Amino acid sequence: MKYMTEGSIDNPVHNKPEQPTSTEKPLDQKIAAIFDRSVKEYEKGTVQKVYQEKFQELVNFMPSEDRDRIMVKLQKLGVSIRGAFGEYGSRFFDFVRNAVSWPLIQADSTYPKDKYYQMAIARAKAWTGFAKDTTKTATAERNVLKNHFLPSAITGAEYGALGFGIAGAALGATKGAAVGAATMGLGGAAVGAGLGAAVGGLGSIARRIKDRMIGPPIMYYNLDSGAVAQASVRFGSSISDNVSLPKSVI
Amino acid sequence: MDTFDQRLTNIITRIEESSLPDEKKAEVYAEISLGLQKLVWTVLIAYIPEQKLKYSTAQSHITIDTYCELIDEALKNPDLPKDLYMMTMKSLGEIEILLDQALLP
Repeated sequence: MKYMTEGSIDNPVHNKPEQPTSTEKPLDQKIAAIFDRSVKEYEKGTVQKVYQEKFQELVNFMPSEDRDRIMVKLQKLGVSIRGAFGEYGSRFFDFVRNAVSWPLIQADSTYPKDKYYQMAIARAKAWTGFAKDTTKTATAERNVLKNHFLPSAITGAEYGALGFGIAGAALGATKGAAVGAATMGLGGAAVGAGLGAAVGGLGSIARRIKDRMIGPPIMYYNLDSGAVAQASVRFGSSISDNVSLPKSVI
Repeated sequence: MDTFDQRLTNIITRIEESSLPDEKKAEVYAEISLGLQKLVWTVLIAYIPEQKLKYSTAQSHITIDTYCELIDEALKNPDLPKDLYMMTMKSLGEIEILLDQALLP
């Protein structure tokens, strides 16, 4: 074994079975490398790198617009994205729509600046060098995102919200998506552990994490109002990002 | 549950069931979230017509109208969704392989 060098006889630590060395990258870094590699492979032959940084800068600082106007734009964009991505499944379509919608949401000065907003900003900035940026701001945003995934942050109240969200979707079938959204916004948290217990377990935890991974809280805009079927999808896919929205949502 | 959804769920379930400390799990989830987002923009920008992208990025600001127009232009190309879906699934597949190697069963 390579550790059996002079002096290791007196140092039992060196005689232990070979362990992963300290140079072994942590799992999260290996995953980051997978995505970086995919991006680099794709960028070959395109000119996007020249414009990407400037484009992000401009998109991140779009002039503020009226909320109603942004909602109209979001709805139109949603139709285009659904047309392009619909065949790949509702969750994938939803994910792309959320990603593309975020710059518009940032341009809405009335949008609630809660922790979900901060988390979504961190996620949105991923499309350039954010992942490698070590500036204080980027680190803080990155920490917001990471803290958001800590199991301790996924509370019993959120489980309650999930249960209530499902109930809200059913309600939406008769009273419209807006009712469901409003009801859930009022307080999945208050519904409590009863419903939460019914939907508990590993599958539920995975769902909560998945929601946080790919869905910013665009339900604030109630984009799916009037489309009951799609509203059910929304309830099912992005509830956790909406549980703390203020009453002003309603 | 569509394939993307299923694969993502499998990855999360696998990580949840592992012996990784909570802090490490959170870091892994954050990286997956960031990476997925990065893929969307990488592919999307590649499909915005070069001249329009060049013109827009030469301006001092971009409006939501311009932003939506550029995204719409990109979405007109039927290769965009194929590319993005393929890249996303490929990356998730690589993560699954990595988890097989890195995590105890």
